[in-house]
Amino acid sequence: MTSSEMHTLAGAYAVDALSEHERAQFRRHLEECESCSQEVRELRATAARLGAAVAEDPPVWLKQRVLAEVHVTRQQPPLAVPEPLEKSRRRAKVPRWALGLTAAAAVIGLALAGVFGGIALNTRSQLTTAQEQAAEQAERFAPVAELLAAPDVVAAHGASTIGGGSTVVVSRSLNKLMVLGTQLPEPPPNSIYQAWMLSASGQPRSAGLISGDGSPLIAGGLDGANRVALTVEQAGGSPTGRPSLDKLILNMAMPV
Amino acid sequence: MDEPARPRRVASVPPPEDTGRTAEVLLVAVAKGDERAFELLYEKLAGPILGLVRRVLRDGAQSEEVAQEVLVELWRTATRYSPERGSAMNWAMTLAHRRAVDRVRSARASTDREQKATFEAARSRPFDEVSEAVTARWERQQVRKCLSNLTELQRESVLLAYYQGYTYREVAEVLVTPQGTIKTRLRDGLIRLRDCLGVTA
Repeated sequence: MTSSEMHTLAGAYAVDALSEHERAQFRRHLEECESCSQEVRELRATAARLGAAVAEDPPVWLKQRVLAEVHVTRQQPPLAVPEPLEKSRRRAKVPRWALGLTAAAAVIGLALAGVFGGIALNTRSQLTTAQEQAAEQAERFAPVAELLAAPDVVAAHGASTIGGGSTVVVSRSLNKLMVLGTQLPEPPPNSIYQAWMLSASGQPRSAGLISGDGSPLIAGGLDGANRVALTVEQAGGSPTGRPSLDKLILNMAMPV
Repeated sequence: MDEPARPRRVASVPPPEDTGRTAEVLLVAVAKGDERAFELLYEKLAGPILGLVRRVLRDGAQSEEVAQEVLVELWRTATRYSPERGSAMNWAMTLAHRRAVDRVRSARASTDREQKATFEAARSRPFDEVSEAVTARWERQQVRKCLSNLTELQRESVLLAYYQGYTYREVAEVLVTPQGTIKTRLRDGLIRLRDCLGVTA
Protein backbone atom coordinates (compact mmCIF):
# COMPACT_ATOMS: atom_id res chain seq x y z
CA MET A 1 0.00 0.00 0.00
CA THR A 2 1.37 3.44 -0.88
CA SER A 3 1.79 6.20 1.66
CA SER A 4 -1.17 8.23 0.41
CA GLU A 5 -3.37 5.12 0.39
CA MET A 6 -2.20 4.57 3.96
CA HIS A 7 -3.17 8.09 4.84
CA THR A 8 -6.81 7.53 3.93
CA LEU A 9 -6.95 4.79 6.59
CA ALA A 10 -6.66 7.40 9.37
CA GLY A 11 -10.44 7.72 9.69
CA ALA A 12 -11.08 3.98 9.80
CA TYR A 13 -8.21 3.57 12.27
CA ALA A 14 -9.59 6.27 14.57
CA VAL A 15 -12.91 4.44 14.90
CA ASP A 16 -11.39 0.93 15.12
CA ALA A 17 -12.80 -0.04 11.73
CA LEU A 18 -9.67 -1.80 10.41
CA SER A 19 -8.90 -5.51 10.39
CA GLU A 20 -6.13 -6.60 12.75
CA HIS A 21 -3.69 -6.85 9.85
CA GLU A 22 -4.40 -3.38 8.48
CA ARG A 23 -4.36 -1.96 11.98
CA ALA A 24 -0.85 -3.27 12.56
CA GLN A 25 0.26 -1.91 9.16
CA PHE A 26 -1.19 1.50 9.91
CA ARG A 27 0.45 1.64 13.34
CA ARG A 28 3.83 1.11 11.71
CA HIS A 29 3.01 3.89 9.24
CA LEU A 30 2.07 6.19 12.16
CA GLU A 31 5.54 5.90 13.65
CA GLU A 32 6.95 7.61 10.57
CA CYS A 33 4.17 10.05 9.81
CA GLU A 34 3.82 12.90 12.31
CA SER A 35 0.96 14.57 10.42
CA CYS A 36 -0.94 11.25 10.49
CA SER A 37 -0.43 10.96 14.24
CA GLN A 38 -1.84 14.42 14.72
CA GLU A 39 -4.78 13.63 12.48
CA VAL A 40 -5.47 10.38 14.33
CA ARG A 41 -5.38 12.19 17.67
CA GLU A 42 -7.90 14.71 16.40
CA LEU A 43 -10.18 12.16 14.78
CA ARG A 44 -10.12 10.03 17.91
CA ALA A 45 -11.01 13.08 19.99
CA THR A 46 -13.87 13.66 17.54
CA ALA A 47 -15.07 10.06 17.87
CA ALA A 48 -14.86 10.45 21.66
CA ARG A 49 -17.48 13.19 21.38
CA LEU A 50 -19.82 10.72 19.67
CA GLY A 51 -19.12 8.33 22.55
CA ALA A 52 -19.74 10.90 25.24
CA ALA A 53 -22.98 11.89 23.52
CA VAL A 54 -24.55 8.53 24.42
CA ALA A 55 -23.59 8.64 28.12
CA GLU A 56 -26.05 7.04 30.51
CA ASP A 57 -26.34 6.83 34.27
CA PRO A 58 -24.54 3.71 35.46
CA PRO A 59 -26.26 1.52 38.09
CA VAL A 60 -25.09 2.12 41.66
CA TRP A 61 -23.80 -1.42 42.10
CA LEU A 62 -21.38 -1.00 39.20
CA LYS A 63 -19.48 1.62 41.17
CA GLN A 64 -19.24 -0.68 44.17
CA ARG A 65 -18.01 -3.54 42.01
CA VAL A 66 -15.43 -1.39 40.23
CA LEU A 67 -14.11 0.20 43.43
CA ALA A 68 -13.88 -3.22 45.10
CA GLU A 69 -11.89 -4.60 42.16
CA VAL A 70 -9.67 -1.52 42.02
CA HIS A 71 -8.90 -1.95 45.70
CA VAL A 72 -7.30 -5.35 45.01
CA THR A 73 -5.72 -4.50 41.62
CA ARG A 74 -2.09 -3.58 41.39
CA GLN A 75 -1.26 -0.66 39.08
CA GLN A 76 1.21 -1.00 36.23
CA PRO A 77 4.55 0.56 37.06
CA PRO A 78 5.26 3.70 35.02
CA LEU A 79 7.58 3.41 32.03
CA ALA A 80 10.63 4.79 33.81
CA VAL A 81 13.80 5.36 31.82
CA PRO A 82 16.73 3.46 33.32
CA GLU A 83 19.71 5.51 34.46
CA PRO A 84 22.22 4.99 31.59
CA LEU A 85 19.65 5.62 28.86
CA GLU A 86 18.42 8.75 30.58
CA LYS A 87 21.90 10.21 30.88
CA SER A 88 22.72 9.69 27.25
CA ARG A 89 19.40 11.20 26.24
CA ARG A 90 20.04 14.32 28.31
CA ARG A 91 23.54 14.91 27.02
CA ALA A 92 22.71 14.53 23.40
CA LYS A 93 19.64 13.95 21.32
CA VAL A 94 19.26 10.33 20.40
CA PRO A 95 19.38 10.27 16.61
CA ARG A 96 16.80 8.26 14.70
CA TRP A 97 19.32 5.68 13.57
CA ALA A 98 20.07 4.94 17.22
CA LEU A 99 16.44 4.03 17.78
CA GLY A 100 16.71 1.78 14.75
CA LEU A 101 19.79 0.20 16.27
CA THR A 102 17.94 -0.43 19.50
CA ALA A 103 15.23 -2.14 17.53
CA ALA A 104 17.81 -4.14 15.60
CA ALA A 105 19.51 -5.11 18.86
CA ALA A 106 16.16 -6.24 20.18
CA VAL A 107 15.62 -8.39 17.10
CA ILE A 108 19.06 -9.95 17.53
CA GLY A 109 18.22 -10.40 21.20
CA LEU A 110 15.06 -12.22 20.22
CA ALA A 111 16.97 -14.48 17.86
CA LEU A 112 19.52 -15.25 20.56
CA ALA A 113 16.72 -15.93 22.98
CA GLY A 114 15.53 -18.54 20.52
CA VAL A 115 18.97 -20.12 20.41
CA PHE A 116 19.76 -20.01 24.10
CA GLY A 117 16.23 -20.56 25.29
CA GLY A 118 15.72 -19.91 28.96
CA ILE A 119 19.22 -18.49 29.52
CA ALA A 120 18.60 -15.54 27.26
CA LEU A 121 15.12 -14.87 28.59
CA ASN A 122 16.23 -12.15 30.95
CA THR A 123 18.22 -10.37 28.25
CA ARG A 124 15.31 -10.60 25.87
CA SER A 125 12.89 -8.98 28.28
CA GLN A 126 15.41 -6.23 28.97
CA LEU A 127 15.80 -5.54 25.28
CA THR A 128 12.07 -5.53 24.77
CA THR A 129 11.79 -3.07 27.66
CA ALA A 130 14.51 -0.88 26.12
CA GLN A 131 12.71 -0.95 22.79
CA GLU A 132 9.42 -0.02 24.42
CA GLN A 133 11.11 2.82 26.25
CA ALA A 134 12.75 4.14 23.09
CA ALA A 135 9.36 4.15 21.39
CA GLU A 136 7.81 5.79 24.44
CA GLN A 137 10.44 8.54 24.42
CA ALA A 138 10.00 9.20 20.72
CA GLU A 139 6.25 9.45 21.30
CA ARG A 140 6.70 11.72 24.33
CA PHE A 141 8.89 14.19 22.49
CA ALA A 142 6.97 14.20 19.24
CA PRO A 143 4.65 17.01 20.49
CA VAL A 144 7.70 19.09 21.48
CA ALA A 145 9.28 18.65 18.07
CA GLU A 146 6.00 19.50 16.39
CA LEU A 147 5.65 22.72 18.39
CA LEU A 148 9.25 23.82 17.80
CA ALA A 149 8.88 23.15 14.08
CA ALA A 150 5.78 25.36 13.76
CA PRO A 151 6.46 28.32 11.41
CA ASP A 152 5.06 30.86 13.88
CA VAL A 153 6.74 29.57 17.03
CA VAL A 154 7.77 32.25 19.55
CA ALA A 155 9.31 32.03 22.99
CA ALA A 156 9.74 34.25 26.04
CA HIS A 157 11.23 33.90 29.46
CA GLY A 158 9.83 35.25 32.73
CA ALA A 159 11.46 35.40 36.16
CA SER A 160 9.57 34.10 39.18
CA THR A 161 9.37 35.86 42.53
CA ILE A 162 11.11 32.94 44.26
CA GLY A 163 14.11 32.52 41.96
CA GLY A 164 14.36 30.76 38.62
CA GLY A 165 11.52 31.24 36.20
CA SER A 166 9.75 29.82 33.23
CA THR A 167 10.20 29.66 29.48
CA VAL A 168 7.01 29.78 27.48
CA VAL A 169 6.90 28.66 23.84
CA VAL A 170 3.78 29.42 21.81
CA SER A 171 2.48 28.54 18.37
CA ARG A 172 -0.85 30.21 17.59
CA SER A 173 -1.30 28.25 14.38
CA LEU A 174 -1.11 24.99 16.37
CA ASN A 175 -3.08 26.65 19.18
CA LYS A 176 -0.55 25.20 21.65
CA LEU A 177 1.92 26.33 24.22
CA MET A 178 4.78 24.72 26.10
CA VAL A 179 5.78 25.74 29.61
CA LEU A 180 9.16 24.78 31.04
CA GLY A 181 10.24 25.44 34.59
CA THR A 182 13.80 26.75 34.61
CA GLN A 183 15.75 26.51 37.84
CA LEU A 184 12.68 26.98 39.97
CA PRO A 185 13.39 25.91 43.55
CA GLU A 186 12.02 22.51 44.61
CA PRO A 187 8.36 23.12 45.55
CA PRO A 188 7.48 22.69 49.26
CA PRO A 189 6.52 19.13 50.31
CA ASN A 190 3.18 17.91 48.93
CA SER A 191 2.92 20.83 46.57
CA ILE A 192 3.56 21.42 42.89
CA TYR A 193 3.77 24.25 40.37
CA GLN A 194 0.69 24.77 38.26
CA ALA A 195 0.66 26.78 35.03
CA TRP A 196 -2.35 28.88 34.01
CA MET A 197 -3.50 30.61 30.85
CA LEU A 198 -5.05 34.01 31.50
CA SER A 199 -7.16 36.06 29.14
CA ALA A 200 -8.66 39.52 29.37
CA SER A 201 -12.11 38.01 29.69
CA GLY A 202 -13.02 34.71 31.31
CA GLN A 203 -11.63 32.53 34.05
CA PRO A 204 -7.98 31.48 34.21
CA ARG A 205 -7.59 28.03 32.75
CA SER A 206 -5.13 25.41 33.97
CA ALA A 207 -2.44 24.46 31.47
CA GLY A 208 -1.25 21.66 33.73
CA LEU A 209 1.35 20.86 36.36
CA ILE A 210 5.10 21.29 36.02
CA SER A 211 8.16 20.23 37.91
CA GLY A 212 10.74 22.80 38.98
CA ASP A 213 13.25 22.03 36.32
CA GLY A 214 12.69 19.51 33.63
CA SER A 215 10.01 17.98 31.56
CA PRO A 216 8.04 20.27 29.26
CA LEU A 217 4.34 20.77 29.73
CA ILE A 218 2.37 21.11 26.51
CA ALA A 219 -1.18 22.39 26.50
CA GLY A 220 -3.63 23.21 23.72
CA GLY A 221 -6.57 25.57 23.44
CA LEU A 222 -5.01 29.01 23.83
CA ASP A 223 -8.38 30.58 23.02
CA GLY A 224 -7.38 34.20 23.29
CA ALA A 225 -5.17 33.77 26.36
CA ASN A 226 -2.47 36.45 26.50
CA ARG A 227 -0.70 35.79 29.81
CA VAL A 228 0.83 32.83 31.58
CA ALA A 229 0.95 32.51 35.35
CA LEU A 230 2.51 30.03 37.75
CA THR A 231 1.17 29.26 41.21
CA VAL A 232 2.23 26.87 43.96
CA GLU A 233 -0.59 24.42 44.55
CA GLN A 234 -1.11 21.31 46.63
CA ALA A 235 -0.03 18.02 45.06
CA GLY A 236 -2.44 17.09 42.27
CA GLY A 237 -3.18 20.70 41.42
CA SER A 238 -5.52 23.40 42.69
CA PRO A 239 -8.53 21.63 44.28
CA THR A 240 -10.83 24.48 43.25
CA GLY A 241 -9.68 24.50 39.64
CA ARG A 242 -8.70 28.18 40.08
CA PRO A 243 -5.25 29.56 40.77
CA SER A 244 -4.42 30.32 44.43
CA LEU A 245 -3.65 33.99 43.93
CA ASP A 246 -1.78 34.31 47.25
CA LYS A 247 0.67 31.75 45.88
CA LEU A 248 1.28 33.43 42.55
CA ILE A 249 5.00 33.30 41.74
CA LEU A 250 5.03 34.40 38.11
CA ASN A 251 2.76 36.35 35.77
CA MET A 252 4.12 37.05 32.31
CA ALA A 253 2.84 38.09 28.92
CA MET A 254 2.55 35.32 26.37
CA PRO A 255 5.03 35.89 23.54
CA VAL A 256 3.53 37.19 20.28
CA MET B 1 -1.80 24.76 81.57
CA ASP B 2 -1.81 23.26 78.17
CA GLU B 3 -4.30 20.55 77.47
CA PRO B 4 -2.69 17.22 76.64
CA ALA B 5 -2.71 16.69 72.90
CA ARG B 6 -5.54 14.41 71.90
CA PRO B 7 -4.61 11.56 69.64
CA ARG B 8 -6.02 12.16 66.19
CA ARG B 9 -6.51 9.75 63.37
CA VAL B 10 -5.40 11.10 60.06
CA ALA B 11 -8.12 9.16 58.29
CA SER B 12 -10.83 11.03 60.19
CA VAL B 13 -9.86 14.31 58.54
CA PRO B 14 -12.32 14.84 55.70
CA PRO B 15 -10.72 15.09 52.28
CA PRO B 16 -10.72 18.55 50.67
CA GLU B 17 -13.56 19.40 48.29
CA ASP B 18 -12.48 17.83 45.03
CA THR B 19 -15.32 18.49 42.67
CA GLY B 20 -13.41 21.21 40.83
CA ARG B 21 -10.51 18.99 39.83
CA THR B 22 -10.44 18.11 36.16
CA ALA B 23 -10.34 14.48 35.04
CA GLU B 24 -6.73 15.05 33.90
CA VAL B 25 -5.67 16.30 37.34
CA LEU B 26 -7.51 13.40 38.96
CA LEU B 27 -5.72 10.91 36.71
CA VAL B 28 -2.38 12.27 37.87
CA ALA B 29 -3.48 11.57 41.45
CA VAL B 30 -4.81 8.13 40.45
CA ALA B 31 -1.39 7.33 39.01
CA LYS B 32 -0.07 7.69 42.56
CA GLY B 33 -2.53 5.06 43.79
CA ASP B 34 -5.11 7.52 45.15
CA GLU B 35 -8.36 5.50 45.35
CA ARG B 36 -10.40 8.52 46.44
CA ALA B 37 -9.30 10.38 43.30
CA PHE B 38 -10.30 7.31 41.29
CA GLU B 39 -13.76 7.43 42.82
CA LEU B 40 -14.13 11.04 41.65
CA LEU B 41 -12.79 10.07 38.23
CA TYR B 42 -15.37 7.28 38.13
CA GLU B 43 -18.13 9.85 38.56
CA LYS B 44 -16.89 11.69 35.49
CA LEU B 45 -16.17 8.75 33.20
CA ALA B 46 -18.40 5.78 34.11
CA GLY B 47 -21.51 7.23 32.41
CA PRO B 48 -19.88 7.90 29.04
CA ILE B 49 -17.99 4.56 29.15
CA LEU B 50 -21.08 2.48 29.93
CA GLY B 51 -23.20 4.42 27.45
CA LEU B 52 -20.76 3.87 24.60
CA VAL B 53 -20.12 0.20 25.40
CA ARG B 54 -23.86 -0.50 25.57
CA ARG B 55 -24.42 1.35 22.30
CA VAL B 56 -21.97 -1.02 20.62
CA LEU B 57 -22.78 -4.27 22.43
CA ARG B 58 -26.51 -3.75 23.15
CA ASP B 59 -26.54 -6.63 25.66
CA GLY B 60 -26.92 -5.18 29.16
CA ALA B 61 -24.99 -7.71 31.24
CA GLN B 62 -22.11 -7.87 28.74
CA SER B 63 -21.94 -4.08 28.57
CA GLU B 64 -21.65 -3.72 32.33
CA GLU B 65 -18.96 -6.38 32.38
CA VAL B 66 -16.94 -4.63 29.65
CA ALA B 67 -17.47 -1.19 31.24
CA GLN B 68 -16.10 -2.57 34.51
CA GLU B 69 -13.09 -4.01 32.66
CA VAL B 70 -12.41 -0.62 31.06
CA LEU B 71 -12.69 1.30 34.33
CA VAL B 72 -10.34 -1.08 36.13
CA GLU B 73 -7.96 -0.82 33.17
CA LEU B 74 -7.94 2.98 33.59
CA TRP B 75 -6.90 2.49 37.20
CA ARG B 76 -4.27 -0.05 36.25
CA THR B 77 -2.69 2.00 33.49
CA ALA B 78 -3.13 5.52 34.90
CA THR B 79 0.63 5.50 35.44
CA ARG B 80 1.09 5.48 31.64
CA TYR B 81 -1.20 8.45 31.02
CA SER B 82 0.23 11.86 30.24
CA PRO B 83 -1.92 14.89 29.46
CA GLU B 84 -0.07 15.61 26.20
CA ARG B 85 -1.55 12.39 24.83
CA GLY B 86 -5.01 13.90 24.96
CA SER B 87 -7.79 14.52 27.45
CA ALA B 88 -8.78 11.90 30.01
CA MET B 89 -12.21 11.56 28.41
CA ASN B 90 -10.56 10.96 25.08
CA TRP B 91 -8.33 8.29 26.53
CA ALA B 92 -11.25 6.58 28.29
CA MET B 93 -13.48 6.64 25.20
CA THR B 94 -10.71 5.28 22.96
CA LEU B 95 -10.12 2.39 25.35
CA ALA B 96 -13.85 1.73 25.86
CA HIS B 97 -14.54 1.67 22.12
CA ARG B 98 -11.62 -0.65 21.47
CA ARG B 99 -12.74 -3.10 24.17
CA ALA B 100 -16.34 -3.06 23.00
CA VAL B 101 -15.27 -3.64 19.40
CA ASP B 102 -12.94 -6.47 20.44
CA ARG B 103 -15.86 -8.13 22.19
CA VAL B 104 -18.15 -7.73 19.17
CA ARG B 105 -15.57 -9.09 16.73
CA SER B 106 -14.63 -12.13 18.78
CA ALA B 107 -18.32 -12.97 19.17
CA ARG B 108 -19.06 -12.28 15.54
CA ALA B 109 -16.24 -14.44 14.30
CA SER B 110 -18.31 -17.40 15.51
CA THR B 111 -20.63 -17.91 12.56
CA ASP B 112 -21.04 -16.41 9.14
CA ARG B 113 -24.77 -16.86 9.31
CA GLU B 114 -25.02 -14.71 12.41
CA GLN B 115 -22.94 -12.12 10.65
CA LYS B 116 -25.33 -12.04 7.72
CA ALA B 117 -28.24 -11.65 10.11
CA THR B 118 -26.52 -8.72 11.85
CA PHE B 119 -25.99 -7.01 8.53
CA GLU B 120 -29.61 -7.50 7.52
CA ALA B 121 -30.78 -6.08 10.83
CA ALA B 122 -28.46 -3.08 10.52
CA ARG B 123 -29.57 -2.38 6.98
CA SER B 124 -33.24 -2.25 7.89
CA ARG B 125 -32.67 -0.34 11.14
CA PRO B 126 -33.45 3.34 10.76
CA PHE B 127 -30.47 5.56 11.44
CA ASP B 128 -32.80 7.94 13.21
CA GLU B 129 -32.55 5.59 16.14
CA VAL B 130 -28.98 6.72 16.76
CA SER B 131 -29.78 10.34 16.02
CA GLU B 132 -32.75 10.25 18.41
CA ALA B 133 -30.61 9.01 21.28
CA VAL B 134 -27.96 11.56 20.48
CA THR B 135 -30.54 14.33 20.77
CA ALA B 136 -31.79 13.06 24.12
CA ARG B 137 -30.06 15.77 26.14
CA TRP B 138 -29.45 19.39 25.24
CA GLU B 139 -25.66 19.14 25.51
CA ARG B 140 -25.81 16.53 22.77
CA GLN B 141 -27.37 18.98 20.39
CA GLN B 142 -24.09 20.13 19.00
CA VAL B 143 -23.11 16.60 18.07
CA ARG B 144 -26.47 16.12 16.37
CA LYS B 145 -26.21 19.43 14.58
CA CYS B 146 -22.74 18.60 13.31
CA LEU B 147 -23.83 15.10 12.25
CA SER B 148 -26.52 16.73 10.13
CA ASN B 149 -23.80 18.65 8.26
CA LEU B 150 -22.37 15.39 6.92
CA THR B 151 -23.49 13.86 3.66
CA GLU B 152 -25.74 10.87 4.14
CA LEU B 153 -22.99 8.45 3.15
CA GLN B 154 -20.48 10.08 5.47
CA ARG B 155 -22.94 10.02 8.35
CA GLU B 156 -24.00 6.43 7.81
CA SER B 157 -20.39 5.30 7.49
CA VAL B 158 -19.28 7.04 10.67
CA LEU B 159 -22.28 5.91 12.71
CA LEU B 160 -22.13 2.29 11.52
CA ALA B 161 -18.40 2.05 12.17
CA TYR B 162 -18.47 3.78 15.53
CA TYR B 163 -21.75 2.73 17.13
CA GLN B 164 -22.05 -0.72 15.53
CA GLY B 165 -18.37 -1.55 15.75
CA TYR B 166 -18.18 -2.51 12.05
CA THR B 167 -14.97 -2.63 10.03
CA TYR B 168 -15.02 -0.42 6.95
CA ARG B 169 -15.40 -3.58 4.82
CA GLU B 170 -18.51 -4.49 6.78
CA VAL B 171 -19.82 -0.95 6.43
CA ALA B 172 -19.24 -1.24 2.66
CA GLU B 173 -21.24 -4.47 2.64
CA VAL B 174 -24.20 -2.96 4.52
CA LEU B 175 -24.27 0.17 2.41
CA VAL B 176 -23.60 -1.71 -0.85
CA THR B 177 -20.78 0.72 -1.64
CA PRO B 178 -17.16 0.07 -2.73
CA GLN B 179 -14.73 -0.37 0.18
CA GLY B 180 -12.44 2.41 -1.06
CA THR B 181 -15.33 4.86 -1.00
CA ILE B 182 -16.23 3.97 2.58
CA LYS B 183 -12.60 4.37 3.69
CA THR B 184 -12.56 7.87 2.25
CA ARG B 185 -16.03 8.80 3.56
CA LEU B 186 -15.06 7.69 7.08
CA ARG B 187 -12.06 9.98 7.00
CA ASP B 188 -13.65 13.03 5.40
CA GLY B 189 -16.80 12.56 7.50
CA LEU B 190 -14.78 12.57 10.71
CA ILE B 191 -12.77 15.57 9.51
CA ARG B 192 -15.96 17.50 8.82
CA LEU B 193 -17.29 16.53 12.27
CA ARG B 194 -13.99 17.57 13.86
CA ASP B 195 -14.12 21.01 12.25
CA CYS B 196 -17.78 21.50 13.12
CA LEU B 197 -17.26 20.47 16.76
CA GLY B 198 -14.06 22.51 17.01
CA VAL B 199 -12.10 19.52 18.32
CA THR B 200 -8.41 20.11 19.05
CA ALA B 201 -5.96 17.48 20.19
